[in-house]
This record gives sequence, C-alpha cells and structure tokens, in this order.
Amino acid sequence: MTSVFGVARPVFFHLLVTGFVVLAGMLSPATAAAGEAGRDSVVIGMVLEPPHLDPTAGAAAAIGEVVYANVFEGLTRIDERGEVVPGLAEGWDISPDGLTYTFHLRDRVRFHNGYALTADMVRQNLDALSAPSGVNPQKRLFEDIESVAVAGERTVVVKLSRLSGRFLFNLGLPAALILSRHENVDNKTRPVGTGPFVFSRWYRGDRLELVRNPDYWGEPAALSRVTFRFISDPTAALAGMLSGDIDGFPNFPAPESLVRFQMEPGLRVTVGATQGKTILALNNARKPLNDIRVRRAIAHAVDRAVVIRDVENGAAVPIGSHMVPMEPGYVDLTGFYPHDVEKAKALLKEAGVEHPRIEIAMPPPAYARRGGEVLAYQLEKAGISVVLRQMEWAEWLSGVFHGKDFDATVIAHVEPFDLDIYARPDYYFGYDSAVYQLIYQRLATEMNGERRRELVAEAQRIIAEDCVNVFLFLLPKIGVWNAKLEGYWTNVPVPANDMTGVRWTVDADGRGWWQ
Amino acid sequence: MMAKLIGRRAFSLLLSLIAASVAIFMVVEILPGDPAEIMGGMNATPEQLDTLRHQYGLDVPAVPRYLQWISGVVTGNLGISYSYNVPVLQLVQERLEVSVPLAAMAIAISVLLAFPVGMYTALRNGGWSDALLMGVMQVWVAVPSFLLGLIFIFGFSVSLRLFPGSGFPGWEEGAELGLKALVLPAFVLALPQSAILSRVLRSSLLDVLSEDYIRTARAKGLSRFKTVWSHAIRNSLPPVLTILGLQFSFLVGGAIVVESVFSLPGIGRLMIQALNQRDLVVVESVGLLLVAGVILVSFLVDFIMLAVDPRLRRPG
Repeated sequence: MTSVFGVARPVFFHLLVTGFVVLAGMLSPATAAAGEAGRDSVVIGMVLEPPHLDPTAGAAAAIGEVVYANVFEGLTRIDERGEVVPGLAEGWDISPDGLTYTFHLRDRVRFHNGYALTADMVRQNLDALSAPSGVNPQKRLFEDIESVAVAGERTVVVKLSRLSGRFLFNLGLPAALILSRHENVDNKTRPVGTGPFVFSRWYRGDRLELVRNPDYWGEPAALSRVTFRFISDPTAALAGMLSGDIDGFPNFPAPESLVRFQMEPGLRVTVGATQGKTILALNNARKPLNDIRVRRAIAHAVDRAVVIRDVENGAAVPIGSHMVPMEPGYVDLTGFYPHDVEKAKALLKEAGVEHPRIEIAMPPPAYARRGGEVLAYQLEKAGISVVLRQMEWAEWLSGVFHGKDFDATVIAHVEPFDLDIYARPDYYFGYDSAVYQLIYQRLATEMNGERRRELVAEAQRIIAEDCVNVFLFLLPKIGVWNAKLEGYWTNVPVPANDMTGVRWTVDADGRGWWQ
Repeated sequence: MMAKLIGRRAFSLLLSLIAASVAIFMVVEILPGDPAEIMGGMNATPEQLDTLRHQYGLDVPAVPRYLQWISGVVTGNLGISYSYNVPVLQLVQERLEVSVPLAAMAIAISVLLAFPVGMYTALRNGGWSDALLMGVMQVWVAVPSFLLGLIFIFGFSVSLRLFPGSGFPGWEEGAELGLKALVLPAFVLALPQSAILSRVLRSSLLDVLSEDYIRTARAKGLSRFKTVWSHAIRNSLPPVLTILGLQFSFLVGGAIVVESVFSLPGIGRLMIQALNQRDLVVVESVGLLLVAGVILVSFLVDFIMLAVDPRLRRPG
C-alpha cells in the first residue's frame, strides 16, 4: 500500500513546518510592555486560604495573615518583636489601680467607606469582643472587660473587672482589630477597615488583591497593590518562587527546598520563630498510653535532634514542654527525657507491654507527614510497632480532634500561651490531672509577675513530668523572598503579613520578566 | 428518522445524568469528615456545631436533601458554598473563565499536532521517520502529566523564562498575559492526547489507503494529495472523532492534575479544594456539571459522526 503513496512530501512537510513555525512563534518571549520603570506591586504566596476575612468572627490564622495591619488596625499593634506599640490609639493612660484604661484615638482616621473613626465605633467593637452571644474566637481573653464608655470625641474608657497584664497585648491581636460596623458592610466578604490597604478583589480558591489606600492617616504604603496567592502544593510553591511568579512566600511549606533556594542569588531565605509548639500528642485516656511508663518510654525513644534535622532541615528550636522560649517563665525542659532506647525498652517491660502497637495520625502539613515517618522509625527501634495513617484536615478534625479516636498524632499548636488546654480533661489528648488543674487555676488569677512566672514554670514541669505529650520543636517560619524586596517580617508574634513597610529596593527594575 | 434518533439519544442522556447525580450524592454522603467541624474550627463548641449543621441543612435526612439539591440544580440554583459563603454558580463561572480556554487550547494544540504527524507517518509507514516520530509521540503518553508539567515549568519557565510557570493573572490584565499563562499547561494537557490521536489517525488512514477505491482514484489519474485529501481523510475520520470525544473526559481528569501543578484557578482545582474542605455542595454540583459536560460532548460527537458517515444514518 505504501507503493501507491510513497511520497506526498511537499504538502506534509509544509504542514509540519508551518506547525512548528506557529509553535515557535508562541514560544518566543513577548517584548516588554511599556510601563512604569519602578515596580510597586507584589505577589505573596500563602499555603492556606482564609475562609472569610472577618478576624473577629473566625480563628483561622490565614485571616490575620491577609488583613492584619493591612486592611484592619487595632487600638494597639504588635510589632515584629512581639512588642506593643500604638495603633489607632495614639496613647493611653492606666489608672493607679490598673483597672481603668483610657485610650486616646488618633485624629483624621477614616474607614475605607469614607466614615470617620469615632469613639463610638471603637466602643461597638470592644463591646462585641466580650459579648456573651458573640462569636469572637478569643472571647475568653476579653472576659475581664467590665464596661466600655465613650468619654469624648476621641476618648474611650475601658474598665476591667480584674487586673490583666496582657490586656494591651491582647488588644493588638487579630481578634481585636477595629472593623467598620456600619450598615451594609460585610467584613467577611468585603472588609472595611482603616488600614493602608483597601480590599479589592477575591478570586476564591486562587488569589486576593489589596490596593493602596490613598487616604491613609499615616504614611501611605509604598506598594500600590498586594496580591495574595493561595498555593497549598509545595511543588507548585517551589515552581512559583523559582520562576519569579511569586515575590515572597512568608511561610514556605517545604523546608527541604531551602537548599535549592539558597543557590539562587535572586532569592533570600529567612528563618524566624512562630508560636507553633509541634508535639507528638498522645491519647492519655486510651490503653496503653494511659500508662505513664509507656508515654515516658515513647519520650525516651524519640531523638529530638534527629527529628529536627530530618523534618525541618535542622532549622527549629527544640522544646521540652508546652511553652515557647520567648515567654516569661519559660524553663528549659528539653533534657527531661534524654534519648535512651534501652531505658525506653526497660520502661515498656515494666509496664508489661514490651511491644505496644500505636497508630500515628498525620494531618497534611509537611511537619506532620515527615515527622510521623521519622518518629515511626525511632519508636520501632524501641520495640514499639507503629502504623502511620495519613489524614486530610477534615478527617483529622472530626476523627482525632473532636472524636478523640486516635493513639497519637503529630500536630503544631499555634495559639500563644495555651497552657489552659492541659486543664481541660475533655480536650482531645485526654489529660486529667487534679494537681495541674489546681496550679492552672491559681495561675489564671495570679497577678503578681514574679509569682506568675513561678506558676508558669511549675505548670510546664508538671506537663513534662506527666509526659502528657512528646514535645518536639517550635515550628520555624521559613520565608523565601525576592532579594530586591525589603521591609517584611521575619518572625510572627501574631498571624500577620504586615505589608505596610514592604517596598522594592531602588534598583529593582522590574515588573515580572514575562511582562 | 433523525428526530427519532435524537429522541432516543436524549433519553439515554437524561438517564445517565440521573444515575450520575445519584452516584455523586451517595459518594459524597459516605465521605468521612463533617463540614460543620471544618467551618467551626478547633474551638467550636458542640452547640455552635449544631447551629452550623442546622444553618446549612446538614441535619436533613439524605433523601429530601437529594431532592432539594436536584430541584435546585434544575432551576439553575447550585447552592451556596459552605466554605466561602458565595453561590456555587459564581465560583463555577470564575473557574470556567480559565478552564474553558485551557481545554480549547489543549484540544486545538492536540489536533494541530496530531494531524500532520498522523498523516505524515501513515504515508511514510515503515520508514525511519515514521518510527522516530511515533517513538517521540509515545514518550508524551508515557510521562505522567504532573512530571511533564514540572519538566515544562523548570525548562520553559525557571530556566528559559519564556512563560510564567505558576498562576493566572486574570483576563482583566489583558488577553496576552492570560493566554501566556495557559500555554504551558495547555501543552502538557495536549501532548499525550495528540500522541494518541496521531496514532489512531495513522492506523485509520493506513486502513483506508489499502482500500480498492483509493487505488481506483489513483488509477484515474488523481494526484496523491488530492486522493488523500478528498477520499482518504474523510473516510478515516470516524475513529479519530470517537477518540477526540473520549479525550474530552480525559481533559477534565488531566486538568485536575495540571491545574494543581501550575496552580491555575480552574474547575479541577476547585473540585480538589472543595473535597479537602468538605464543601459538599460544591463537590456535588461541580461533579454533576463535569459529568453533564462529558455526556453532552459525547452526544455532540455522535451527531458529528452522523454528518461525516452517512452509513450510520441508515436504519439498522
């Protein structure tokens, strides 16, 4: 049959060549579009997307990471070092008994919808914090607010029922940001605040855009536009950074890519600290983990240094109890259960379960997935057989966290100062200690700083002694940035990506290279 | 005759859609995880969870919930997304702005590549260039698309900086930027398809070329090109069209992977995100929409076949 159609060369070669020419045309870089010389917009990558944008109605860290200091501002503000600085209140007076705070609001502050910031609007916001029917995620922090009163055009007086050393700090948290409570404002979908950026658009599941607020009361932002892109896939995140499609990834999901990034002269890698206490949580209410000897055996079997090396590329601070080292009253308990396989085996023998079998539940983050694998390897050396189970967040929340149907799970607790969870017997890891509950009760009402620190130390010690969970490390915040960008945060004392001071350095030529 | 055919096809189409909707609903029902717990977060109290369940109708028994959903879909109301609190229809529309151009580009590239290659190799059957081209095309089928995607990103985006390797700027930034963002993913989707398509075209064309009427046409003195163009091509199209129709459903499946690798806001990624967040309304409605799309395309292909091949129109 080919004898009939040996050649039809000219036509088909022509077709082929035309095809390739067309393709080659598509492949050639387009000429640079005419545009401003300096670049004044950025694309920031985030792993998780906020469910909505109202920080006073949802606990998701991603909400604060978009709106904190950008769209909304609080009376006080927490800076990168975790210190309280003035926000919408330019100053405050505290009464001698420490129970009355008088806040002086800044002049000429306007919401993005044009309304001026009034003392009454601040009062409405503060009232909502502790409202019994309220949905504020940090409600318990503001239970001590007794009354809020307007005492002049720009003066608000807050009375507390008890002394609270952290009140000014708490007012700087995302949950206490000041939102517009005007009619027809839905802060969940179109947030209206006073910040240097105005909400522009949100393509759900993909990206969210903020634009510069030209009427900002303070120094206007250097950037005209900030785009947050939501990328949960670590490989896609890596590709986005390397290709220049993303300018900064404040919390990069794959620590093993660090080495790759450090090879790029155009990128800068930063390692900061978070509040994320990463632990191997143990089900204290279930056999065989209800036996303290078994829990201690697990703690001895774990080699924390290796876990940090293998899971976080060595870039993490070890912890020995449920406390971050920056907190006043922190005690270093990392040496409490030194890595000792023989001791672990002896403890198991003593407990009468030489070869226990435990299942480790692993939610999606890399620290949990990789952490589970490293821990399984270490535990098996001590004779503990481990079954690893990968879970999505949905399954983890309902099965492990709410259903308490688990043996062990790798998880990071990111709430600041959350010793209270060990005083709740119904909490998922099922720790029920009368001694601890008593200590925590005293801590909650103790006002003396010195005595507080002692109680905080005591609480940490009890948790470590009872070996409630295996404490691993502080979740690091690994940021990857375009080297020509400056003014961003390295540490995260609160969930935030403060873009106020972010700018391109003078020699940044460019818009994206493909433009 | 035609009307009866259309009627019969439309009826079976409707049946498939109903079966698909029941299957989707049932699969979503047995998924572990509670949407209320996701919406409520870690600190939600049992009362808050109950309120959420009630608010989103999750406490309604399955059968009335199914009927509610279907009657909504029929009237164009796809429901409200749990995770975003916006109409599912709005989410779908935003995503189609990316997915439809991407699929169209992929099909165009696939056809543009497959036809020259298929024809050329058929005419050079057994030669070294046939073996070489077919071998190269085989590679595109063998490489999994996520890997192909990464190779393209690192080659054309990270190293050569020819195209963006991640994300979609939005059409409002200009058609050129939008199209450039879709080039690499479209090629990744198209290459395996074009490989299959060119293979089918090649073998179909070879069959046709061995027919007697081709020899007769040549004997009459018709040029090689004219013979292929006016006799062979048309008669070798039916299997190619069938495959093209089937590929539409592969495009939908492949798009889920490719959209994730290139982090494009398309329908596929919407589906994955909705599954992870137990946004069940989105999963159900988008799932049904995809099934409907695939069924409709195969329906259309059937009719194009009728137009191309008169033999199919004969009562039989």
